[in-house]
Amino acid sequence: MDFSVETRAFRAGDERWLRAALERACRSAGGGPARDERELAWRYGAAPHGAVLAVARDTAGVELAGLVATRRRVRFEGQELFWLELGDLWNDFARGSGLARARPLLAAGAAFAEAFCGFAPEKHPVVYGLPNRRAHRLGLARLEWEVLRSENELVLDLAQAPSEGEPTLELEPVARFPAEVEAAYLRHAEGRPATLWKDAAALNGRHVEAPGVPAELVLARRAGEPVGFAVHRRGALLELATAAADGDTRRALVAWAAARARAAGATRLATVVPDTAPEFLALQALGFRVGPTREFLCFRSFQRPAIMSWLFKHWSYSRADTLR
Amino acid sequence: MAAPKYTIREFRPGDEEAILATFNAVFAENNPSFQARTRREWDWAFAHNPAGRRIWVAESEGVIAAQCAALPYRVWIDGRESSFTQGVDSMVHPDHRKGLRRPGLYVETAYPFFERFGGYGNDILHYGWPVEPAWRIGRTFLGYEIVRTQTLHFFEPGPAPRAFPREVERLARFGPEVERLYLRCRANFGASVIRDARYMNWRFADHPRFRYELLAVRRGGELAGLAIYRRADWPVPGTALVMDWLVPDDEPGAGALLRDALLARAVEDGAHVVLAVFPDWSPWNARFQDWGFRVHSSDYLLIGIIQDPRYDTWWLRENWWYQLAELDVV
Repeated sequence: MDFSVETRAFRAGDERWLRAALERACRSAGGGPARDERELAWRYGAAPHGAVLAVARDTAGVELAGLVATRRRVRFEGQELFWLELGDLWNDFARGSGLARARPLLAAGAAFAEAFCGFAPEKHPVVYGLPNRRAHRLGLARLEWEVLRSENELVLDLAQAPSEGEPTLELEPVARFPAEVEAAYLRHAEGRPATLWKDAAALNGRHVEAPGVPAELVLARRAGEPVGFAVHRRGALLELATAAADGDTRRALVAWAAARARAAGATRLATVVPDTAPEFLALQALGFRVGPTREFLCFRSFQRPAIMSWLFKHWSYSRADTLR
Repeated sequence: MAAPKYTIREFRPGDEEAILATFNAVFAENNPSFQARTRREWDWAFAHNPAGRRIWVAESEGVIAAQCAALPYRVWIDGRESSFTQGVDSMVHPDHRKGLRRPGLYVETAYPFFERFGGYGNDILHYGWPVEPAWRIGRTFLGYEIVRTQTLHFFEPGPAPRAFPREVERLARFGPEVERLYLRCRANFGASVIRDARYMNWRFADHPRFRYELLAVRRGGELAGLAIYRRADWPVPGTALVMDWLVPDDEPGAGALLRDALLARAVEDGAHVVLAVFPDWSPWNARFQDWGFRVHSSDYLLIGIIQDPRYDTWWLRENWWYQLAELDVV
């Protein structure tokens, strides 16, 4: 099977062929969720810092395999750089036979790594994502991915939700996060060597402009100063950001999210934080229980110190940092 | 000086003392609290293991220069009997660490080990709980995959004495009834070490170094639940380990009695924390949290080399029942 590989930035309109290619690949793999052009256009085309892709096409120009990733701004040991969140990886296994069927994907994967991955600031030192089972197998065996964590979920039974927090804390529901939300993010980021950078553009891009059920946003202030924020959607606590030691704000934001989840008809509030983050124990103290997921957070690193043990200990992330 | 010549081969009777000598040289390095392994302990692990032996060595002029070894376990998986192995005692003698160029003497010893014991129809899984540096070597050269980044259940019992429930008895050894209890539990396990009397007595009652307490609850004369307790200084000083937990999901009452017994023993022993490990799919994962245990991160990676294409890390993560019992160092 002859094919060629193209690497470039994602462009408006790419969502059309991408949806068709993903659906072909899905059918060849025995099925999967349908994809939506609007969702793809938002995920990649509207990403605040853009998206990149590698695609393998046959001689007739039909897309056989590829990878698409969103550029994510990262605060890494106080410095600004960019990682890639791999959102889609596909291969049309109906084309070709035997081991040769994966050749387009392997070529696209190699070209993707060559074009976009490497030392900052020119390239992206970390690529990460939550692959499905097939992509997991291929990625680990053939694309040099590693597992960072078998992901846990923290779940709060809403009947056990904590009461509202301290009266000096003001919780301000907002339609969009204002620019000053970044001050709350920087409090959260203090003492955490690696976090995705959460300014208003990143948060609004991910949560306000997303198609589908709208998210609910809240900004916490103390004496007028932003000290935390949270995002809730349909029983999922997508963001929860406070300073590590600010248990009062954390409790208030959890109480707010629990109330919003209850109002949305949910019976539980679920979130994801790394088991090495201070929130992992703090949320258990608020009544969350640790349960299983079917997710393996995977990554590939191209620059020290971001190897597995370092990222495992030092990367603090939220549920929304990886789209499901 | 001429480079040493190595014979890489399977274990044969007569290697025992040379293996022990290398083990005690290797594991004493940088470990002032190391207690030398005895021949009795080696025999327990490798000669008396009811599931057999898995050892491959690199020998040079009578010295065991490297070893790749594992403890095999009989397992019940997907409705049939097979075997898993736990990698143990991986070592290269200090005098032979430059013995072979990359990938090195250990990996060269491991390759034939896996040819002999791996592959379809042999041990389905070779697993271990390495820390990250050992994981990296294994991933690069031997195909280690992460099944789970291991979390641990911790509880701080406090100093106040706790009553040991009178319904909980201490067993000296296991009889055939333990297998009947295991069979009840197994209904909810996709894969598990077969906990019959032979295995349980070997693993706990006959252990040559560690003293375990075998705590049991009966209902109608039959075992309704079993917990194995040991006071240890791993992973932190003053830890009470829940080594094994064999309680059917539908016996919460027996579970609660055994919990009380474990906590009472922990306080009596002056332990600061009680530690247990559960697969996250088990109902006991949630029940222990309801009892006040908190889930903590750890540096341990549950890794596997999966040697049967019908299984993968996703399947194992969701189906394999394991306990601290499956970890040889405790």
